[in-house]
Amino acid sequence: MAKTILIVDDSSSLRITLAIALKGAGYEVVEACDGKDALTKLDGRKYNLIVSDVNMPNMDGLTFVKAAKQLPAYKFTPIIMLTTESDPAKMADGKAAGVRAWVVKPFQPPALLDAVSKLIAP
Amino acid sequence: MIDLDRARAALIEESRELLAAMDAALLRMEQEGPDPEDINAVFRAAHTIKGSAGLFGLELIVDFTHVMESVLVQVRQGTLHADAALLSLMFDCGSYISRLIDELEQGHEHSEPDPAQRAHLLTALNTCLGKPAASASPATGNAPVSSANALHHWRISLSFYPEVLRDGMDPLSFIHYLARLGEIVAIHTDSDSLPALADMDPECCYLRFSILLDSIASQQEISATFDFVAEGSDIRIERIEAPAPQPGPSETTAQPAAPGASAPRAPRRAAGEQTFVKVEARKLDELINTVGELVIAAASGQLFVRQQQFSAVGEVMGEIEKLVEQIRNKSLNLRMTPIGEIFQRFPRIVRDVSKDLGKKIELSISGAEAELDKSMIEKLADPLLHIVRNAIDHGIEPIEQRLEAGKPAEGRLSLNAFQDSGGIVIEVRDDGRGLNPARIRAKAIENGLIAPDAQLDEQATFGLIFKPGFSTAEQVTDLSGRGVGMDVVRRNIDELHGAIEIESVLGQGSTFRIRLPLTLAIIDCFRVMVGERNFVIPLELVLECIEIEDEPDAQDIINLRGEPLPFVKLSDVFGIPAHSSGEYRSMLIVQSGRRRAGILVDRLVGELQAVIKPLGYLLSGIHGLGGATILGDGKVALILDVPALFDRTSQVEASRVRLAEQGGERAPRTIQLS
Repeated sequence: MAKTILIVDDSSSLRITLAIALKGAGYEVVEACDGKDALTKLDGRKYNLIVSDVNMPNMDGLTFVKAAKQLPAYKFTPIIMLTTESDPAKMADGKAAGVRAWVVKPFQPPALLDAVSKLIAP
Repeated sequence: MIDLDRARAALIEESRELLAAMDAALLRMEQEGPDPEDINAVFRAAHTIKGSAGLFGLELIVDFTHVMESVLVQVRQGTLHADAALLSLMFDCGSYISRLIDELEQGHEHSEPDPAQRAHLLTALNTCLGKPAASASPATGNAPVSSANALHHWRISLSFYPEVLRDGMDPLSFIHYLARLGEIVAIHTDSDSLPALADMDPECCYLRFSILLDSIASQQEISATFDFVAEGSDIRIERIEAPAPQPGPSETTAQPAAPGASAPRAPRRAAGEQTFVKVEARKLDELINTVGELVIAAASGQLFVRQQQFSAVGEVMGEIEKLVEQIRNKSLNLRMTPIGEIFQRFPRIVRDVSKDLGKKIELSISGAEAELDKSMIEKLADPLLHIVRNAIDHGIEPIEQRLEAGKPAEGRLSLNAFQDSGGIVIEVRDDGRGLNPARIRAKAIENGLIAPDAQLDEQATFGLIFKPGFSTAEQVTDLSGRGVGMDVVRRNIDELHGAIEIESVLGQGSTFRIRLPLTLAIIDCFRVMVGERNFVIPLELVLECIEIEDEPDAQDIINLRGEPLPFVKLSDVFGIPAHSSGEYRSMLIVQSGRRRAGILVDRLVGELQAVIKPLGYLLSGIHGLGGATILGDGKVALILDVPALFDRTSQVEASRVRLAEQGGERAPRTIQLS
């Protein structure tokens, strides 16, 4: 069964492009436009990976990720955070929440696919 | 492609929306002054456009928004003020990006609409950053380009930080990823640090992996695999010697597995060099187990022959027994691994720990080639680490104190291993402040470990630091002073049938000395009987045997050549009915570390080689038993855990053997068999 990835980003073009790349690599993709939207999509459905932006309106990425990690179903779900500047404070904050994988924007789809394949085996 | 066109259209639309939002925010700030929400909106516009444009490789947009974003970060942090000039610059930037988007819509994404304007804006932005104009360096995070091209052999040791699973990282997927960089020749999963089921946290990763990888990737590329987990994990990547020359790199990946490869393929070496075959530990264990059975079978054959008095067969049996002995020794030798395997971790650990503590330490290592059973090496790593950390944390003084005491600023720490009469000795020596017996004593009294009037010699006092709950660290440090530790060290060493001793001179330093048997699989034992039960005691612990004609007067102390010696009655310990046949009784004098005691038994039988079998589930919790073995006649004998028995001798502390007076060496072993 194909593995499912949740993409959370406020940029629709980024979501579309990532979705194309990930679907091309054989993954299922679910999109959410911010942290709040993403939380409603955590309805017990199994995600093998969550890719989330940090800076988003309504609910930012770290708040979302911390909330997600509280849910038993997503406690062990690997998370990739997308960020622009490598912000040490944010990264430390993320680390406490169980986020270790950061991909620095701007990146091209192959870079994200590369990160994804480190975290989930085919 | 249609999808991609849709994505591009989305990018254009989204960028225009963001630029509009940015304009609105800038306008508000121009009229009403800076506002964090508005600054954030401007920042997010630049940030999102940069991120999305990066996906399409639109470098003109990415490079520009990158610089813009750097300025906005400073505005957000308050290091730059959003004054009229800056706001106006941002307006211009917005218009310029808008033109880039227009070009994109026309399909000219790589053409520069207005080079002069771009240069002007970049100069202005860089001036805000206080940088020369030239340094607009975009961070395009692309897959690394392979620069190396020769095939190399890599050994990768992975020891992930324990919470890796909780962070959603699966070690297996990293290994899968590694397979994309080359050919994984062998993987060894090391489960030695897996605790007992009851102590195991199922959310923690205890497994370690060693991987042999043939790859053309560079060290950086391989190590990039573990970027996400590098912090806190111990990941080692080393290039190893090339195996026998290959016709060409391309053929290596297509190579068939070695014929009959029961074990993963090991790197081959040129003739003349030392060669290794990597064998799964389990297979070796099976072999040793079988050899163990063979030892038992040979012993029972010998017994039978002796009983039946077949003298001709006896000769053959003697020969067989000699060969079995050789096979035993050789197969045990297969498990032997140089202790350097754990010693080599220490330079790094010492460096890190001493850096954390602001101390300077020179580490010297000797005897790394001394060999020890592989299974023991891993179990030794933790206690050794703890002792070393303690030495750095509590032993070696801060630089000022050292200078005051007339010592060199740099503390000395040495790790040393050597073989010594059938065992191995590992020493951790420091030139620090040494143990303070008075302080240890005071602390032990305070913690209720000893009575205020207890009479303890120096060794016994030092021994207190191994008691559970003891800690002299006045200031609990992150590294070692948590009040657990030394008792765990002691327990770990006990589990290895080893002993630990401390030598310390106040103000001059301490030496922790761990003595271990070379292997745990087969030991030389001494067999005794209590009633009809058989017990065996590791021979290296037996000092002498004496006969006791009468039941000793005192309950638990006898007078051995003028010295008090505590003893235990084995029949009492294990609740075996008193022996009533009126036979003589014997006492074994045993010693472990510096403690000495007697064990009262009914009968001495003699020496034998015991193949240690673990105790089953039912018996494994019993204090004083370390395992079981099968005797030549098929009966089961229990192996005594002597250090545990010592805890039963009530006044052991008071009657420690004063070895120092005997020149530090234990008395020659005399065994008198009746």
